[in-house]
Amino acid sequence: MNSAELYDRQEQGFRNFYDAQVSAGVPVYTNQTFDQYLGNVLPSSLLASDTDWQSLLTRTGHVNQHQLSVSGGSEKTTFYISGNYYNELGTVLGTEYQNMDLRANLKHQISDRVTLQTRINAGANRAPNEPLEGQEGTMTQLYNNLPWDPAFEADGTTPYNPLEAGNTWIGNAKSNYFYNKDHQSDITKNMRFGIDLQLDVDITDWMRFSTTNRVGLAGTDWTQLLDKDHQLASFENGRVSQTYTYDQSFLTSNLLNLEHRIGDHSFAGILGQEYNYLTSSFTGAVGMDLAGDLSALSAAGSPKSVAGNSTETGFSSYFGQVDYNYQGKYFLVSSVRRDASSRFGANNRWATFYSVGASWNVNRENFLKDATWIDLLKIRTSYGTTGNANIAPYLSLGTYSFTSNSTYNGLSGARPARRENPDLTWEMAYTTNLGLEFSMFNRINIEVDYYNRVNKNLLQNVPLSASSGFASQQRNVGSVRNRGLDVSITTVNLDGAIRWETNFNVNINKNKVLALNQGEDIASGQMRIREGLPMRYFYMKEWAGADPQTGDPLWVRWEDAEGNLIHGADKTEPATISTTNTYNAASNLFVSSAYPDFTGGIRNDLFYKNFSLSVLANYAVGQSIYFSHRERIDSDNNSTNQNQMKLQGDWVRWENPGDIATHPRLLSGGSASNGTSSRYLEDASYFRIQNVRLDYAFPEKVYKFSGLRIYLSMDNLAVFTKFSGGDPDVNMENPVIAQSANSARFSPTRKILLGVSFDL
Amino acid sequence: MGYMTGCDDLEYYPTDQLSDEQVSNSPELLSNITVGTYSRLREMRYVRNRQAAQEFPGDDAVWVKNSGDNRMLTYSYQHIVNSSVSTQFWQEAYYGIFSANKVIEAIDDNADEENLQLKGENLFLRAFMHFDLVRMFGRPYSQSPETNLGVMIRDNTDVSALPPRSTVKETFEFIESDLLKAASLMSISKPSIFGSKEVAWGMLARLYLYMEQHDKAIEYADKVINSGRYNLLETSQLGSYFTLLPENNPETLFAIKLLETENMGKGSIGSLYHSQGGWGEIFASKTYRDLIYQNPNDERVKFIDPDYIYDDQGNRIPDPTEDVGFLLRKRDGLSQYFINKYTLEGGVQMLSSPIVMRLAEMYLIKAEAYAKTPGMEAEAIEMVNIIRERAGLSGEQLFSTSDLKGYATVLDVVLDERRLELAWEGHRAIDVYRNNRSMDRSSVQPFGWSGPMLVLPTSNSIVHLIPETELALNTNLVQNPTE
Repeated sequence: MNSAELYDRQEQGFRNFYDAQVSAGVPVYTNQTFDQYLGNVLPSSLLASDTDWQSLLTRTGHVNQHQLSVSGGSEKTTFYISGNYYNELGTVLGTEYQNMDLRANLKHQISDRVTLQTRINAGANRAPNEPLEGQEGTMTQLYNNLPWDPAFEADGTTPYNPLEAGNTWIGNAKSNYFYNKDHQSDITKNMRFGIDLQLDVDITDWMRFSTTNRVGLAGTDWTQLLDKDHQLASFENGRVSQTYTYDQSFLTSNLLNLEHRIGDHSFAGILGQEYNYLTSSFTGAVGMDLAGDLSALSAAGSPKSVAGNSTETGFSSYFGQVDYNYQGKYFLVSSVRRDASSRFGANNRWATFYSVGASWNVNRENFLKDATWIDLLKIRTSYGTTGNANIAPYLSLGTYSFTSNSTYNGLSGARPARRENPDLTWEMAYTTNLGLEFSMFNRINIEVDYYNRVNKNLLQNVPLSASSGFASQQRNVGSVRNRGLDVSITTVNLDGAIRWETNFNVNINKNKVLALNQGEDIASGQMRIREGLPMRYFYMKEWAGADPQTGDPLWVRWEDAEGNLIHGADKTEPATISTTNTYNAASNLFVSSAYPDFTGGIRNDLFYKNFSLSVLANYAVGQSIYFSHRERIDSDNNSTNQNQMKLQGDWVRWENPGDIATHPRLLSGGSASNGTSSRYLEDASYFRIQNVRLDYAFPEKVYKFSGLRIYLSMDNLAVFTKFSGGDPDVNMENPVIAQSANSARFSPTRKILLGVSFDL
Repeated sequence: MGYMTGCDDLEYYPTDQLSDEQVSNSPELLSNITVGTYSRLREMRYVRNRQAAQEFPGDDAVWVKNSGDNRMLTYSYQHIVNSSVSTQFWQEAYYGIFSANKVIEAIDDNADEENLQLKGENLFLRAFMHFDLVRMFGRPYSQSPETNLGVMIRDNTDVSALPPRSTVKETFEFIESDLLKAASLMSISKPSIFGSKEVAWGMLARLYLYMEQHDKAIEYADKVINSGRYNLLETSQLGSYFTLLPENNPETLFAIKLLETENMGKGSIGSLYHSQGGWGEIFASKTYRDLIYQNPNDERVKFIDPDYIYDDQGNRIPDPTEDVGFLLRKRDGLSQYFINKYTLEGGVQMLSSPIVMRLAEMYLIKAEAYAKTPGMEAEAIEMVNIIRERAGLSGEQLFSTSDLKGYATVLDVVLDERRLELAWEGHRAIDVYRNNRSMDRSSVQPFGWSGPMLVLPTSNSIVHLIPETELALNTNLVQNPTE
């Protein structure tokens, strides 16, 4: 809102508040007129200022990308080298991203039977962050900063310091990007390096040994500097923080490939062993009392804290696979593997996984010999198990941890960190697939896949009652099923001077929690996991709009037969369902699934002479997003120090008795009308034109360049949605109410790329 | 561990954590766990929420802003079931109680002196956290303690226990027995940032006062006063009380120590109370100022730091409408009388080791207990005058039983003296309600919000609500009335 819009809104909120106090006979209010009251809380002098934070904090960004690759070699030795550079300046001030990748592959035939390959890749990226914990992030400032707070002094260039004695600042957390940016820097740099060495030996015609060995290194360097004039570090005389993270990995994979053919029968097999070791360590230090403009830890007059540790994980696997086919018509495959992970409890470290599959190329059968219009008709099915060990290390151990938080008066202290779970084990997925592939007339290709996947021993962090002494425990909690259909249809609509291809795909998935330990629900933030419901299901107070008579906020209330408040978690059918204008008297209820009903994409490609045009769109229908930032920027004047959204689409603000409204009466300092509830849970269905690209390939050599192409590409051209936060694909579920959490997120921006590529 | 060793066994252990067995079998690690429990107290999730829950419902300070911070809901008595204040505090307290129980269970009652001291400190810590909990979630002891609900009593490390709330009486009696045992086990003299025998006595004096066992309150306050460990700070030093390091302050019984490296800056308790290094949004209230500025020579006015406006020559600008007689900066029409009890420890902005208990409170406990004991009015007045004389007051500024200076009762004198002395230290709200008095909030209502103007001691909103996430995880818990 601009200055005048926000003023009108707040004036109404204060008026409603004042009127309520006066009719209650509160002396502080009956002793003064509304104008006197308003003069104190909302002086009209505010209207003199109208800072447009949205336009101040955004710019036209740009992307710069270069790619170079070279390949070549001799009969025995080939190589491939490529490099990639990417630099993006985001549309919100202070956002940028740089990335660089190098890759070199070398393959050498040592003898007829022995090949050696090495692949090296290295990369680095760099991006600034925002120091938070007490100030608003830039994106939040864009939404929340008040038009009444100035970005600059009267001269228009000197940043306004909200904290300087005598300066006033009405907005929350006194955050002025333009002041802070000169007093802070916060940068994360990542680097990664990996090298693979692969040796293939053809032992006989039918047996090949292959060993791949990879060493990976990765590091992160985070440095934050807040000088002594920064609001978050003035009490420390400036602060510098640095954390280095260093990861190493080692993988060895050894395979014996077997292949044999007897007449129409082909056999193939793999025997293999793998070992994977990962270690990660970090060192962090914080210093304060910075000398002058220096930014090194050594220039800090006094140390503030040090931290560091290292973790290790190991995986070990043995596996085998057999493939068989008859005449290229019937295929069978089966495999079995044993895996162990150090992340699980001593009792359950190893697990066995297996799979079987079959497919049938129907079009190769004699009875279809004459149906030449069929290009491919294939039926396939499989059943198998896989494992998930995607948890942090050591979660099965009961431990006490020593950290910089657990010290007291400089003494080293330990706190109970985890309850042990020696039975912690692999999550297992049992998947059945049934598929059909059908191509005809060289024009139409249809693929249909049905799947049913049941994950058992689900790995989940389960919250515990504080009476246990712990916040949560990692457990295997139950099972969940995903069942669905993938359909993909590709058609060639025109095939002549103009060629037009269309691909349409859709995924319909149904998710259901089949079982939980003892049938007990598991709380998970704003969601709750319950048997019989989809796994990501919102559980919160259910919004019932504004009371038509009073304009009060309303929420749904369930009561049992005795009139006691009950919640969805109580698993009791309500005797009465009513509404309440008291947040605390409202029930927590299962409101809606977060998952979409279906998702998919449509791609169209057009080719004419040397031009090609592609249009890619995608969509999701039926998903819900909790847009938590609205608690702050779509309140009812509950707090007056943040800017507000305008009413969107079909939103209606209650004004007079009888109004049917989505939004309650404006009331300054009102109760919890903006508390977490389904008020801010939105249907986030969307249709997005993701990318449009037009290419032109020059037919002839231009100057010294062959294969010259130019293209124009547009990302995020348009999105059609009712979601009030713009593009619903961005993660809007972060809790942004607390200052410690940033921020309204970075919206995907429309990007227009003009590119040139050529060969030398 | 190298790449090639330990390839097959997949046994890895953390480098910054110890296992349950390692700790249980090692006596010296029990002292690390005790340190870890003390460290909970200094966490903002504990100490800052504790301070808010105890102080913000009072009437000594006005919070000018309409903040989105959940502490605002504590201030305005608009408690919500998912307030971060009550949720974080409840959780931190019970996590701390669990680790105290670990040590209590591990040390036998016949252990050596050092281990008994350790056990005593953990009993003290367990009692301290239960006491904070029952103050936040249970009604005052003076109101039907046999039936009103207190908090879960946790005296073991059974990780699967889901106890119900005990009554207020049961909770108080549990705290009492822990403190008595703690006092009997502790024999080592420790700086005032750790538990000790005297600290347990002081806590007992406070507990008995709340339980209206006046003889015992006097007895335990006297034990502290006569222990010889503490002295009231000199009058000339009083104004700088909170700038002294707590270990060096002869009056402090117990403070929660924060080192300079643990200073939370804008996130500290003091941040709301003072603008130098903080947000500066809470000012001394009008009714408190009316009381303290009756005697401008009262040294305790130095705990208020008015935000003067200076003219070009650097002089204050006269303004007869202000209590201090000079023009002050205002916000939303309220003059900025900042409070400095939570900043400038050791001269460092925003650094503060919050004072939990100090000797002056022992005299005031005695004063109140005497005031409630028939025939002991003179002793009550004597105690009040000790505190007033220390604050630099004399002659006509002191009370006598024959001259209560307009106060109706000796108890009224005592309660106002408590207010003057212990302002912003977390006493005011509980002092009003446990004496079954009402809180006049009309002068601490900033503009534009809807908290109650008058809070009766019987009001449901004088206690916090049990966090709803915890109710859901332990169905044996019963919620406080929500309306």
